Amino acid sequence: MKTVLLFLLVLSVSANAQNLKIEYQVRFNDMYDRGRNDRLHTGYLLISGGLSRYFTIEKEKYKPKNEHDILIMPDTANQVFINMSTGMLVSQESDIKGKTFFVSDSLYPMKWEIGSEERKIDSLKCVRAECNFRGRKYIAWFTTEIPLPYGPWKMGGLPGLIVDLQDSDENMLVKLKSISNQEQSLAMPSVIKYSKEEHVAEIRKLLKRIKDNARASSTGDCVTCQQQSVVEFFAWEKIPQ
Amino acid sequence: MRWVVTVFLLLAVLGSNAQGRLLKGSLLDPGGLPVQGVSITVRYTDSSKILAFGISRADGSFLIQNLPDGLRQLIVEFRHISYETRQIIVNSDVPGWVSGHQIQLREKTEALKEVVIKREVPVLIRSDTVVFNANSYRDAEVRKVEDLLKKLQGFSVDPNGRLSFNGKAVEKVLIDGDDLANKAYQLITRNLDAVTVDKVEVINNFSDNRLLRNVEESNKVGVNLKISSRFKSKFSGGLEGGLSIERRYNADMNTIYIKERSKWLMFGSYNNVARDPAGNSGYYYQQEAGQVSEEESGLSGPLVLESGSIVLPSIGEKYTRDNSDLAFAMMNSWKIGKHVRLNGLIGYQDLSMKNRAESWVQTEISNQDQWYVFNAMNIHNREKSLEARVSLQRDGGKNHITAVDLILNGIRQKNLFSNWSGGAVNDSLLENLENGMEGVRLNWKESFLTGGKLLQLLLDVGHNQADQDLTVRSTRYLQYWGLDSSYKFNRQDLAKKKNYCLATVRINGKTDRLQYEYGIRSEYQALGYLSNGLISSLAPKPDLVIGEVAADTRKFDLKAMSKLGMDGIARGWLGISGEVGWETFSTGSVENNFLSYRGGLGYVKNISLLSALRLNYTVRRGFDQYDKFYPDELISGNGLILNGLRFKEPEFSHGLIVTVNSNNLYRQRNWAANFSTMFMPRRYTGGVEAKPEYGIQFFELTHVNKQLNAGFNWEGYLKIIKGKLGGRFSFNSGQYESVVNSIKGVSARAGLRIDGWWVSGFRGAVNSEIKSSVLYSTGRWNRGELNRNWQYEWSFKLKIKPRESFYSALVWHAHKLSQKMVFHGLDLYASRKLGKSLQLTLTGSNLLNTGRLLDKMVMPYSRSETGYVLVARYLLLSINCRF
Repeated sequence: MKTVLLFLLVLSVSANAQNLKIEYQVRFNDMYDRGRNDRLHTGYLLISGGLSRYFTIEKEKYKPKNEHDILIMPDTANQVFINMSTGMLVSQESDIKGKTFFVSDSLYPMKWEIGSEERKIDSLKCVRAECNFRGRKYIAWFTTEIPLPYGPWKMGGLPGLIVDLQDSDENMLVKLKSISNQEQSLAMPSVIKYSKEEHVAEIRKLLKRIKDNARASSTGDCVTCQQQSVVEFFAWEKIPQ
Repeated sequence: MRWVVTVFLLLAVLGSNAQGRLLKGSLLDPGGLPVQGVSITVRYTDSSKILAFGISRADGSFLIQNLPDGLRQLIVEFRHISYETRQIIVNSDVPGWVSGHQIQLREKTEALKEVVIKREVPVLIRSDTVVFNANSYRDAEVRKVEDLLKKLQGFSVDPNGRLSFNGKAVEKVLIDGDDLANKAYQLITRNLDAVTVDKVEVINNFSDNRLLRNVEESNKVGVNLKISSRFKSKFSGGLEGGLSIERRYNADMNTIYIKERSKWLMFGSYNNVARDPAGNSGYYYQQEAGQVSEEESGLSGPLVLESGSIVLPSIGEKYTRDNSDLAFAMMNSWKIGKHVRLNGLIGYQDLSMKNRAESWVQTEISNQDQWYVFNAMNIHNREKSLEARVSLQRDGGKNHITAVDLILNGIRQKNLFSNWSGGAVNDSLLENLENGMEGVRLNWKESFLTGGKLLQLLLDVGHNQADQDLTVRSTRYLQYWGLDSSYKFNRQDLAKKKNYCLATVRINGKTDRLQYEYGIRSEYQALGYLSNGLISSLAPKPDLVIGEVAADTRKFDLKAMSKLGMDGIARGWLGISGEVGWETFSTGSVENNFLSYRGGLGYVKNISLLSALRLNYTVRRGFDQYDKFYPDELISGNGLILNGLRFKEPEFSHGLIVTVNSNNLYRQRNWAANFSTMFMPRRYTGGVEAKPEYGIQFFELTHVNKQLNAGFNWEGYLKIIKGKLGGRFSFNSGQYESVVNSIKGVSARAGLRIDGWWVSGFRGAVNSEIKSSVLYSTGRWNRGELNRNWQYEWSFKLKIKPRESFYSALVWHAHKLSQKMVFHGLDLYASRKLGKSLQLTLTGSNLLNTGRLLDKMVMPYSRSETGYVLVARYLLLSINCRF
């Protein structure tokens, strides 16, 4: 009986919903917290029924400064899947070798503070909202004229589509470019490797291993050396210490 | 059911005690099925502020917490893209109101329409390049590229159009990556219409040489203008013409043709409204090999407020009251082979300045020695110059580049000056000075990149010749000195020829943390002089015929240089540079040999791409400019002609500069702090250029400059005042010790200047700008009385833009440039678009000028106040079109 009810529910939502392709212009600073190297990307948010998929495609390739400069994207700026019906968010992560996998996360856990400030972005009347999310402060401009609780990346849960999004240091700047109708079929990733908590624990383990390794290699045979390696870890979603 | 009720009560209690009031319910479609993803907002009936919000869940239920206390009515709004929006008004004092209620939504007949948002990212920082989107900075006052650059945070433009970004001088301005104007880039920035530019790229760590970019952190800045695609592959341009009833006029033309293989720019301007289309660009072609101007005056600094919008009719100022300037330039870049590019530039200027001025000068040499002179001056300066450059570059895209530059230039100047003076000096003077200079220069560079090292061979050879003819007719009586020294005719001719050759071999290399450079450089200069002079005086003095004197100087040096830069030192970059060489300078039969050296220690801590701490300490022994030292034969035999210095010996000097700057382009804030100190002694002997009344005087001069400067500036956009706020504080002090023929004098001064400005950014039609400057200076000249002075100036600009096609601005400015005079002025600018490519503008200058203006000059041994009568007032109507 439960199964039948669930089927009817999904069917009704799909019948009433549009298939939307929302395009954002994304400027992301690859050197966040360490300097600046901004690159432009195009962000796509595809919505079909209760499912959505957000991903970015770089408009400008990363230019390494030298042969030792290798870009690894260990964060989740790239791909996020959401199932509204089940309240599930899955993001794509990558390990230190660049191998990707999926991590489940909570849907819109941020607590938005909606302000009284309003502004027009093109023809859309937008309202300012702020939140703190995993170590960074975000400022969003959303519009109730497009009543979709979605936004770029993991951001959403507001009573309207997020039109502009940026963090307070302007490392990530996302601006709505267009909304169009487009037929598409979306599906959530079938293999999820970790929950968010497990993934954070894995990163901590890795970090400890790197630090131990650096400490060990700095002793060696040199008895007069007093050098100590400093390992700094930068993550877009900051890891609680 | 009991279980459900229990839960409800629990929620209600929790809601009212811990989470504020709450609303809950469920949403259904017309078929009675739950609707997920409905946006629910709650606000007061008389306000648009959202108080609380929620999203309906998969089962259609929703829960909105933390509703405000009170008895006001609330609107609850339900929105969904597939359903019609529904509003319900509730009283806020009913907790848990919608509980159990089912709200039905009606389906929309229309789906969400497609949305396209038009906008661009104004600025982007990409590796070592900052990209400004020109569209985001264009407004009604932006006409030329220079106007656009002034709007970009971090840029500053000096009166000659030279650019700097974040305090670093801009080396080149490129067009789509090609260098068309070399160092005379003002020709581009002052003439090219800003509308043609799509993006402005600021390249930090810029280097002319593509290969050098891989092996050197240059710390130089280059600007690349990316031309908008709609102006490519076709001939386009702009024309402007204007007239005023005061017989002012302006005609301006600029054209551009950009294709992949060739780029052409052409500019022309003819005006008498003080628009300088070339920015003294010729000067940069006259710069000779190895010559760099250096700060010589110990008492320079911001002791006088420079009036920004008023053109002072002082002698030597190009644009005063009746200027008439014609300038034309054409430049191109042409790919003539697979790997070969030919760049060419030809520029011609004919600048004419006529000035009829009344002025009065109160000069105070010391407390006892003061004199007052009233002058009626007539000045006509005319300068014609022609510059041409051909540059050939072969770059196969691999490890070898050949670049050859051939530069030709010629300048003729004619200056007429007549003056009648009364007061301490009774003087009638008519001077005619004609100058000319022609030069040719060949610059050859070969660059080879092998094994990660760059070998550069540079050869710079040139010849130039200059001549100067001065005739003076005068009667003069100097009351102050009680001299009867009238003379009637004075003729001075000087011809100079210079040949030079500079050869450099340099190797650059770079590893992960180390950057190095070493090489040798040798320079030879030969200068030949031929002078001729005659003085015909009133009786009882006999005529003095100087006759023809020929003399020459020669200079040869051989220098070794090296540079070492290390990254990661104290988390920054540490650089050490040194140059040591043997120099020989001969004047006639006298030969001077000496060791010269130059050293530097620098530290740079890059906080981010546009924020850094810089520290630079330099030591030096030697000279840059040998042209100012004249042969003894000319100084002793013909003091009439030359105000020349005789070479004595080079002195040691050193200086320290510390700067910290931060330019946050995204937050629109930037600040900088600087501190510098300098110690520079000099020792010369020379012959004073003398009027016959003085005879020829010799002096031996030793002077020591000590300077200390400190400054801080901040500018940022503040939301609370809806605009940009800025301030600058600068302090400088200097001491100038001089010994002239064993008589010692000490002068000292200190100045404190504070500037502030506010530029509003309201969304409405009216905006304003307020700028003000205050200066306090104090000084003691040659042990005289302590002198104190307050000066200020301010301006208020009202900008009105009621619609897109109309813009106007009114500027009221006031200046108190000395203790005696306050000057007020009113300027106007209005523009009206008459179509897509047609525009009408009205420009008013000094509409309410009140007459006199005082200018204050501070010299090592004297200070003077000069008054001027201003008549630069006009209202010019112009029409501008683009094709």
